[in-house]
Amino acid sequence: MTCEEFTELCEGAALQALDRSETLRVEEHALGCLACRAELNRTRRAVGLIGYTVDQIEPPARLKARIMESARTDIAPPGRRFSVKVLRPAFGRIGLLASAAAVLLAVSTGLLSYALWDQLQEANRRTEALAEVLNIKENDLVQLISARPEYLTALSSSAQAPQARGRVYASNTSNTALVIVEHLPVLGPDRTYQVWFMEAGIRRDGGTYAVDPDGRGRWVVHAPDSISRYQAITITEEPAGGSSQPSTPRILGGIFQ
Amino acid sequence: MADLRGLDDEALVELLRQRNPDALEVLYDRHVRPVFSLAVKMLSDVSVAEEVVQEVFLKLWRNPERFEAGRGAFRSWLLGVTHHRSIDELRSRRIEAGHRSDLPDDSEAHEIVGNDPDPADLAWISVQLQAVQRALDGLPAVQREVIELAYFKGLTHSEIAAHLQEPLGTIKTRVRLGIQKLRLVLETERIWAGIP
Repeated sequence: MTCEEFTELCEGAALQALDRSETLRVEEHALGCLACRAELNRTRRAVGLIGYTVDQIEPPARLKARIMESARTDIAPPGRRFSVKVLRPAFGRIGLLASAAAVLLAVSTGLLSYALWDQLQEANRRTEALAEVLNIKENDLVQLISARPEYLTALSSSAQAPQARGRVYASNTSNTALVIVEHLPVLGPDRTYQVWFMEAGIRRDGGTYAVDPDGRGRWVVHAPDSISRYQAITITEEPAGGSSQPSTPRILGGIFQ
Repeated sequence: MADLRGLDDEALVELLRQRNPDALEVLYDRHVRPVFSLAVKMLSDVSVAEEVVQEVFLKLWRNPERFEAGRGAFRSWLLGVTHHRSIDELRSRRIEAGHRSDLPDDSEAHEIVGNDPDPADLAWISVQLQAVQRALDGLPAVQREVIELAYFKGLTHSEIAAHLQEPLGTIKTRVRLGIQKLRLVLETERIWAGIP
């Protein structure tokens, strides 16, 4: 995308009114072009003010209590973390991660009381069942839920697979993410899907992955560094074994807000 | 806590980096009303709006470095994050329902009784609301319509074109011109300069 093409789409991008492929092209260009990124940020700032025009509604008191409880649990010193809250995910099943993560953290503290033993057994059963349901290695699952993932971004499709979609769950402080994809084309044995993490326009390898016969994948992805370093994630189709840099156009992609 | 209430947003965000939950509480009290109101307006579902707001504030708590002071006022940034997350929710909902043209009904929004808001904060929000509303009202009706469909309903150019039965190019032009005018007015009046 050129700067002229970017200019044509900047307002739509700030309003999030572009189609998925346009959004990714604009975001990719902005990541590598300081002037256009600044223009997009200024336009976003103006667009953001539209939110002020909404009639003001007072939130319920329980909302504050819930948020503050979660936050204070977050900073409890090691050894005191027994409660993990994962927000309602649109893809389901991830909620199971919460209880499993809570017990894993409790185990790691060495302070698990006998009274919690039953909960541990139950959580272990859930972890095994979840690993089976998600079709991912149990070790990967343990690493993922210990990182306390939360919803990061939706994955937008491109012309290569317009029906494809996905979501990314991760903790910014970890390098592990759960990537859930659907409706991806099933590839032949000589091809694979490869995940890339974008950092200032440079793509870092996130590993190669496959989908099931229905085009679904639930991948535990390990970024080269903490997720917070990266601005976006993309998925391309590559030769089996992967590539050092993307050799085909992006199939799915998402921006970390 | 009382001392923290005198700090500006950027100083409070700095305290979040030091894992100070009192700073989060002050930021919550200061900004939750516009954030919650926007989520309810967009999602027309109070319980889902609560989850989005919870997600937004916990994301702020866990990743305060995502807010870059130079990119604009904190509240505008927070509204942007809420807007982004609400659009994800709306689009996910539409895809799952298979009714991409169905629009949520504004009338489902609820009045909720909760904590007494800070009167000064409410007054400040009101001032900003009126300023931005004036800027929006100054736009031609067709431009305002497409901007509101995109912003509050989360519709893309293509979906707006289908909804209004207008050519895609026409919709793109209206969005572009409308946002350019809106930005010009807001920048000229320096409306965001005083936003807390």
